[in-house]
Amino acid sequence: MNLILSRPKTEAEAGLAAQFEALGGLNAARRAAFAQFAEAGLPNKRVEAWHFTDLRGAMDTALPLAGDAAGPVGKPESLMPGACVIALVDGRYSPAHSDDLPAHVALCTDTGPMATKDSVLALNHAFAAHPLHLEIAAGCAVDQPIHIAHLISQGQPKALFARVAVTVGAGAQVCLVESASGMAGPHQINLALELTLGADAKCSHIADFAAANSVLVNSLSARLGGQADLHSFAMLSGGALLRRQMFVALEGEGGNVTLNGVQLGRGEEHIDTSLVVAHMAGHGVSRETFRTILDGEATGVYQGKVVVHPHAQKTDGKMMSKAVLLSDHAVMDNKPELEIFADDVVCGHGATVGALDEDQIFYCAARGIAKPEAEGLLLQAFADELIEALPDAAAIPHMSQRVADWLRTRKDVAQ
Amino acid sequence: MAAVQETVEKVRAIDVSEYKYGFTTDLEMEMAPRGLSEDIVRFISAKKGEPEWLLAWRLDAYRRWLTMVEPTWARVEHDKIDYQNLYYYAAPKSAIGPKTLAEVDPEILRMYDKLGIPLLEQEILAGVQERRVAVDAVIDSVSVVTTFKAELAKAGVIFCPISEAVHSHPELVKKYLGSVVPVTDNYFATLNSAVFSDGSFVYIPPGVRCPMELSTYFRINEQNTGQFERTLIIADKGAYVSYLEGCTAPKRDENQLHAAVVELIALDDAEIKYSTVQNWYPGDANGKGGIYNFVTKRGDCRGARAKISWTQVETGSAITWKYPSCILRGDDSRGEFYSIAISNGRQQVDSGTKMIHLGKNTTSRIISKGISAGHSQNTYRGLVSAHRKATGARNFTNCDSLLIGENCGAHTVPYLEAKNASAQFEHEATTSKISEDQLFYCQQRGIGAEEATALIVNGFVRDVLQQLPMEFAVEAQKLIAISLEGSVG
Repeated sequence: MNLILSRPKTEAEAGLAAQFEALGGLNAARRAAFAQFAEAGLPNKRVEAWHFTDLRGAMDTALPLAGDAAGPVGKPESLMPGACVIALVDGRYSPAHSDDLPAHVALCTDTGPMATKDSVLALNHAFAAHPLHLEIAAGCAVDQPIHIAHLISQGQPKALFARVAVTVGAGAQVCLVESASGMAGPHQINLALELTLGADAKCSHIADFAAANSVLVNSLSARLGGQADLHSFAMLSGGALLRRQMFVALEGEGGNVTLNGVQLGRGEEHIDTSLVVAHMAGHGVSRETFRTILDGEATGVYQGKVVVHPHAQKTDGKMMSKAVLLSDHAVMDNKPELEIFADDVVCGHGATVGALDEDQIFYCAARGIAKPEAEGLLLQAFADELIEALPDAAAIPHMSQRVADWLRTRKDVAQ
Repeated sequence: MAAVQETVEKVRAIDVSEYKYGFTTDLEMEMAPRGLSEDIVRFISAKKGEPEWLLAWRLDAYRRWLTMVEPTWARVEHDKIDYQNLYYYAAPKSAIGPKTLAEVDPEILRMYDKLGIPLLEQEILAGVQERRVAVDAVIDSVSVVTTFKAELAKAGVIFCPISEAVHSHPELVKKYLGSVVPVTDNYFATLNSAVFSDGSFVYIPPGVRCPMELSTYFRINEQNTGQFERTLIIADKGAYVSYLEGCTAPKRDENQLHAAVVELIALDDAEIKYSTVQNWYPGDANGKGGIYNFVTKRGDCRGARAKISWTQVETGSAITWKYPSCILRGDDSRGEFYSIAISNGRQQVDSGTKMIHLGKNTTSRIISKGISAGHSQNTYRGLVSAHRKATGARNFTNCDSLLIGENCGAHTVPYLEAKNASAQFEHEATTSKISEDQLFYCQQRGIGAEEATALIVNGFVRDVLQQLPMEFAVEAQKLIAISLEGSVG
């Protein structure tokens, strides 16, 4: 039934409003962002972009904001050898935990306002008090990977809002690594990364989010100029609710974007990857490939939407989501969506869900490999197919190991 | 790759400006007062001399409808529908009362003749028509005639207007009406439950294979009317029926509402094949006029090994909002959905299907082709879901869209929800991924990959279309040759 009901604020929404009120004296952009959030409220299944993920249900209360009175801070895990670490502790840049910046990279704490339709991203803009802005000079290739490490100080569960913007000048090249550690809380974490790629710029982005028992929403917004190239890969695991959402706009002709990811869920975890790729100019290429492995009662979500604007002719888009369910209680929801307004394009999408292939397990068994090992082999290969496609080979061992560790602990659970 | 010339020409041939069925027929009509209220609901019920329980059912639906709001999630845009500005009952005066073929108004017969639907049995028997099809002819709110009733009755098949079935077979109607599409289902289905006028009722007894194709031909004739027909088809254990539905309307400047409900029930081992050629008036090239086709169609495979198959060719309507669905409740039951939706001019199509797997080892297949030209928008929206207990559920979905011209849009919104590990869902739109074995077979024989793909899929679609009866063949034939070349997911 389609009843209209006016809805009172949930406890979490009321709590957020009170917290925002208490901050006081904020600039117009942040107030506008909060007003946008307040109007929409926390997203739930009635919001089409959040159809499979009920954030309202997952947030009972608004946890206290992570402040400056921080407890001890752990060290960020090394994802790529030789990376330059830029640490944000409780959402604020911490030089003490960071390395010196490599050449051609400038840092400031000023980010422009960014329009968004997503209420959770608007909430991030409202609460992120210390946005960080990195600038890569035009025409320069940064030789050291830049590792943006989100750290949470130990102590009570808290709410963390962090916002980072990276501008990659025309023709520049950079490898960005993003991670969040110390996630056992349960915290409420809202991270945003905004990428602006100038013409011919090249950016490789590698993210690792292990959300433990926290609620974590990570938003990646990217705008690509002509011939710009973005390759983003994310490893997602754990999470009372973990959502990675991406909003990519190919604004210039001939942009090239690849969005890949591996999702590993078990227990009652809920892991969601949602993306919108907008082809706004012609000759763009987009590739989205995701692999999901679900055990226990975990829920996996993949929502992808490729929009081809009128006149974005010769667009080439392909989207693929594959999921393996290891348990009869796991749930996978797929929604690969296409919206096409131009007639000379090639767009395809595919989605599969299923159990591991019995034939393949039998093949292994016939060669003396026991079922648990055979499953491990097949699952590792399933994920490695994407991991090995990483343009930065130095990140492959860490990501592959992440899958191996997850599979090993699965075996422990089984025994 | 852009569409090939051959396809462009074929689609142009069925453009909105070429609408053949736009003539009007002057019939003396009996109408209910304009608007919708409890009195109108009572009026319709009284007109059909309905029993008390059905009136109560209608009134309950009407009261619920008042509390609901029109859904807005579909990718269609239209001016707000003024539900008080419609006539909810319109019947040709000559059609009222009992009727045999001899008593049917010759004007109505001429109208059906013009539409290419012969109603005269002797003509059909004399071999003027190659295939024998029993027809239920519905104009606006009433059924005017049903052919071959006697012959069908010999086989035990009940085929009559639903308004008649309410009196002749109340136990069946009472048992099954609203059991697949409940009164509360959605805004338009609830509206239909309150004001439904006529439609067909089919019951195939156990073990009977219906001796001929059954069909209903819907015609909206009167101005400012809405048509709200209700179709109920029950195939008892082991029965088989093939049912066809056709629809046209005159060219008029205002939009007319068509909100039908179709319910199919297949018991153990039964099979229902439901085919539609939807050719309502689509409006003119500027989007003026045309039918709003907001239809709820659903089949329930209630028994084990039941099978329901939907085939639709959608070329008409200003707006189409329709999702023929299958509830696969019985173990080993099967649902199929084959659709070709062509939009032109300013048409908007938001169509697709739902395959809801509840029973064990249930299988479903979805083949959908959308072709949009002119300034039209064509959306495929589909759901495939496997319930926790639906072990061994299998689905294969393939949807292709083709755009012709720069001002149209094609959209795909598939939902795949798997709640158990043994469910296997495949959704594909990339032409290179149709059965690798078949492709390999063709390639081995020197047929290129693309050519082979077109061969396989066209061969498959042709198979389906060729099972449509003669009167639908004209439209269908135009679509068969449409090439896959240049199609996008």
